[in-house]
Amino acid sequence: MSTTDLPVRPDVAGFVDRVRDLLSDLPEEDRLELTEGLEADLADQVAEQGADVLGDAVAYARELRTAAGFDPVPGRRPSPPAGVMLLEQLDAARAWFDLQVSRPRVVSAWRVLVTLRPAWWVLRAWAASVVVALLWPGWYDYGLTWLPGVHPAIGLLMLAVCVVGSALVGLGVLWPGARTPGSRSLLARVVLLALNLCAIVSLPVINGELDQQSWSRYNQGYGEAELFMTESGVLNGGREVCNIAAYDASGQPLTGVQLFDQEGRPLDVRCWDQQARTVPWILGDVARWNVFPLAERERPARTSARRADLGETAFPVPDRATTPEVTHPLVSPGPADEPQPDRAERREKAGEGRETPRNDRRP
Amino acid sequence: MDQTQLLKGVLDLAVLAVVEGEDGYGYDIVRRLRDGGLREVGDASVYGTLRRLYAAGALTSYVVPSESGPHRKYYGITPVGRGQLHEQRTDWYAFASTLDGLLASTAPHSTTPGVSA
Repeated sequence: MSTTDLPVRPDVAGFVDRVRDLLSDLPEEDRLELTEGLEADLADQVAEQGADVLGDAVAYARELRTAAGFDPVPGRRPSPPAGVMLLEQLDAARAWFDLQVSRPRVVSAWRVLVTLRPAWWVLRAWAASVVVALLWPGWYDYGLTWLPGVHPAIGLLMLAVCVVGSALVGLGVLWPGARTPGSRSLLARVVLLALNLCAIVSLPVINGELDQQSWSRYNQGYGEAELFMTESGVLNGGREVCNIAAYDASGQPLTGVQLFDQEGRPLDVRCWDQQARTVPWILGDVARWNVFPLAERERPARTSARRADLGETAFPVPDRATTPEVTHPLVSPGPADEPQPDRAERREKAGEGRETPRNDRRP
Repeated sequence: MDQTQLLKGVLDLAVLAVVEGEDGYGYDIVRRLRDGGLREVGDASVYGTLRRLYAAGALTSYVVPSESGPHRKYYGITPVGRGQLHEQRTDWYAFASTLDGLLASTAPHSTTPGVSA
């Protein structure tokens, strides 16, 4: 029995490779069993009888298969269960990744990233909570900008639940996480990978959404302000005017003052629920809201029957009975309208002669 | 005559017979068969048969690694294989004598096949 060890000749190795290919439809174990030691056996034959002994790999493989009790013609390769293939691919991808992050230049940066893992858990939890908030039925207009669509309290509760869940998954306490790396089932690995990928992909999307959100908030605010502007009647320093107390130049209160603006539009006041609380002046059968003061009721009247009852209606008592007399250069003062001396004195003390022309004369 | 067809049924028996005495690797077993007279036995048939007998538990196998060349895979017979060999040997003798009887009784002329004077 010859046990001379010869290095495998290239032609023998090629022949065996071809035979292996032709057996590729067989289970891996059978294929290995059939071709293990084949190089050595064929090398012996070639050494004895020359390279011609190799012959046709196809015929050889067929003979081998038939004798071993397999179908002589290769069937279609029964694809291994998809799960097994996927598992192998995942393992390969993992191995490749591990190799990449173990490179000398990358390894230190990767260490830093690994210590930041909990931050990633929080980030992906936030992404998840935003998704949950978006799927939540109904839409709450005044939620948090970064967690829109739900009431802030609900949103924060969602975020808390997601953070806890994400951290437990990261720590391997909760499925699909695993306490020891490599002990995860295929399903868990796929699910975890998918979730993480979703989170990564959704972050920019969510960010865009948030930009959109803040813009629409801004827009909404703007729109509301505009609405307020157009819906309001008379504004004084941005606040609605509901009634006006008018006095003449000598400071006496007036009743029934009709006011119009520079374009001749009636200066209507419009306040929230005004019709229930005030009684306007009348022109024929039209209510006029630009005549002051408007009479006010003790209690709001929300029905026409109650509105007809004017029992508890009166003009409001103004906050001052009279107001100081005023003058105007275009209005010739009467004898009683002498400027008061204390005012003249104050003007002189201020050193600002209001009567002097505007051209700046230096002394 | 063409042995190939005849061999099909009895190659298991032949392989078991040559492995019974001593373990051997694939081509070694092919050599023993050829030296024993089965000139036309195909090596692939033998390797396939070895694999099948191994799968059936009639043979055991072990790999002997080598420093410089490819590994050799040795096969040895198991008790199951010995049982199978014993059974098949008995069957073969019975079958062969039956066939001998048939051929002897129906032979019109005594001929020595394959040999021409």
